[in-house]
Amino acid sequence: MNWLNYEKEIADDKFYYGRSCIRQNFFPGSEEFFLDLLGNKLGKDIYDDPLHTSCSGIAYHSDILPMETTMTMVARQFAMMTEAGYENFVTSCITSFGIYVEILDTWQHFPEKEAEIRQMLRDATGREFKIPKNLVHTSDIIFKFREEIKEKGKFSLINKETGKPLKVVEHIGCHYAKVFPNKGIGGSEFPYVLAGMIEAWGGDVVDYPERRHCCGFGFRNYLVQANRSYSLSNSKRKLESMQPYKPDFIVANCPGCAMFLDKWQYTLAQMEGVTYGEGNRGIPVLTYEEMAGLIMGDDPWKLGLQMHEVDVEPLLVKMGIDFDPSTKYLGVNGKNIGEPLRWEGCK
Amino acid sequence: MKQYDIVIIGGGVAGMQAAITATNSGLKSIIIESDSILGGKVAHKNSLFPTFASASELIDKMTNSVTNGDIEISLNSTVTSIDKEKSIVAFKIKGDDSTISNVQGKTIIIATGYKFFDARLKQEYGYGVYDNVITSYELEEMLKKGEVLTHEGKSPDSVAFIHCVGSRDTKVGNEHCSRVCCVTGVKQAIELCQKIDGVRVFNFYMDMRMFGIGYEEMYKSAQQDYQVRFIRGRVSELSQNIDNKVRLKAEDTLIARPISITVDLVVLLVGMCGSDSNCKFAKDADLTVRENGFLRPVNAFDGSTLSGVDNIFYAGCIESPKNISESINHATTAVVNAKCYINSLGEI
Repeated sequence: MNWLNYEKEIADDKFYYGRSCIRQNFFPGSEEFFLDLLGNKLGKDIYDDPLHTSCSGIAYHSDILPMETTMTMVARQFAMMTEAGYENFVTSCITSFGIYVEILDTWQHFPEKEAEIRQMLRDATGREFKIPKNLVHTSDIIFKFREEIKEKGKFSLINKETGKPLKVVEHIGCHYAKVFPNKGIGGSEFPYVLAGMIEAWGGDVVDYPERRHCCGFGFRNYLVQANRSYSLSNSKRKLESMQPYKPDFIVANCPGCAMFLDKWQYTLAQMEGVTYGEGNRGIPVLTYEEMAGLIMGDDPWKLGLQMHEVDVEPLLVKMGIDFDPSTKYLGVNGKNIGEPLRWEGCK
Repeated sequence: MKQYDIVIIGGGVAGMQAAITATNSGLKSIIIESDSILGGKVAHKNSLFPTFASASELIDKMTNSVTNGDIEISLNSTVTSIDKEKSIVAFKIKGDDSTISNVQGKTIIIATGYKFFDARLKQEYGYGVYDNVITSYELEEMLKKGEVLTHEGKSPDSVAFIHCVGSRDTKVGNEHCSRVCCVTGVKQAIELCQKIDGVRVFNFYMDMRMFGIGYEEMYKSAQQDYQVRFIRGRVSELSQNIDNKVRLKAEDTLIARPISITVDLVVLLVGMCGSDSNCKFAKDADLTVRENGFLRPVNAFDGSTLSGVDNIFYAGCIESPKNISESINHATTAVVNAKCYINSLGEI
């Protein structure tokens, strides 16, 4: 079909890695899994630079920083990449990805702005930078290597008991392709980046009415307390829309989307007494790295799945993954990290 | 090589009218048509706006005139090249790629019409993905067959038309208005109401361009006599429910509110685009293609049938979107101009 014509060049090796500001808090195993996957399991060269910073996109979208400041921050990221000897930039965050794409596009149309930013970076830090040859999101990379992951994998997105494909809701962050459709695999209306992983690993993609709807994250929607009901309403709209399809889990490629689609389920249960998914236990929400990690046979708790609001155990059982419930809340040092309050039984 | 006064490329209403006018003017012509029948896109229509006259009657009448006159017709024939210097048109018959036929005309009239916008390019409407999203062309074929059914074989209880699909849309690179989609939407909405008891019909539009005689009256009748609801607002996206019904999201710009409705069937009023063959014709014969894909005449006023090449003329929608009567009149004018050119050769 037409949207398959949206092709995207994704580098094969030698990546400079840009982490997300918030993902390590909410999905502590995702970035680690990605680095392990590329560096160790796939044998690629990926550089996790301790010197890089926030792209400041979160402040830009909250109207705290002017665009020029964000551009200079991004210019510094590119300078870090250049100094480290890399040309392919891969970012872990959808907001950052959108920021980088927007800035590169702006510079292409307004070279005088690029020159201005270069001078600002020079004045502030004395650094110079090269434009990345290849700029992608981490989900693009996992998409690219989905067949290799399948080959090395131990599990698939098949219900072990029924033998049927798991029904997976995929949610794409708005800033992945809604702003610049040609920068996303599959374009903006039928993005294929997560759907391609799901299909490759044996699952069925759920095409539900609010599939393209924003999760409600939207920076100002949740940063301004008075707007949070708007954020929640958007997630509720999506959850209600997907409910009749009885999805086995949700996978998202944006930090905010994965966080809110997961945590707002608890909020909705508390506010309205409504739960989604089977047995009033909610619909598990994974990042694409976590999904890939489960396919590869990584330990669910090492992947950080105990940090999710909605319990993932029902999904693990469906996939036939053995797990030790007693170690769920044990940290790396073996100490209990604390358990969340139970919210089963809400209707 | 056979010789004619006019070689007419295209056997739709414009091409047929050019041949009829040529005969009436004492000129010998040939129609080269790529389809297996004459009539072009009108041959696939059910009825014509604003009178609801039968499209078949018009096509049958014109076809009779063409076939009973001294007009040669070559169906299933694809033009392979135009030699403007020698005024030779080469074509081949479908299924026989090895044989190229050449005909020579003192003049050539290009009347190959238009192609419909590929609705898949408006990805947000899910044409080709959702079972119950169809084009106005497909609905017209259903109406012609006498049965309008959803993908599930049900008579629809509710239908939504989306106007300007592929027209006046910078996002898909078509800034032009296709002109007849608005009135087609009104006509088809009325036909559905006449055909299906109790059907609810919605038309989502930017603005209604009722430019022809009788169009405005038909638009008024759709609202007053058939309760067709016209909602000013572009649809942002369609999606499919679990029961295969289609959900529309739009903004009603008159009440300044977002709306969402669910219907059994969505009809995309697809616009007109320049034919794929235009570029080839332009390359062969040194013609000019407009930015929107139609062929550019020497001017838009008294020269819309003139290609800029002395012996080549335009008829119908090859030059710009037109309704049927405009296409027919345009074809007549093209023949008049062709005859003037032939007269100037001093051979008649």
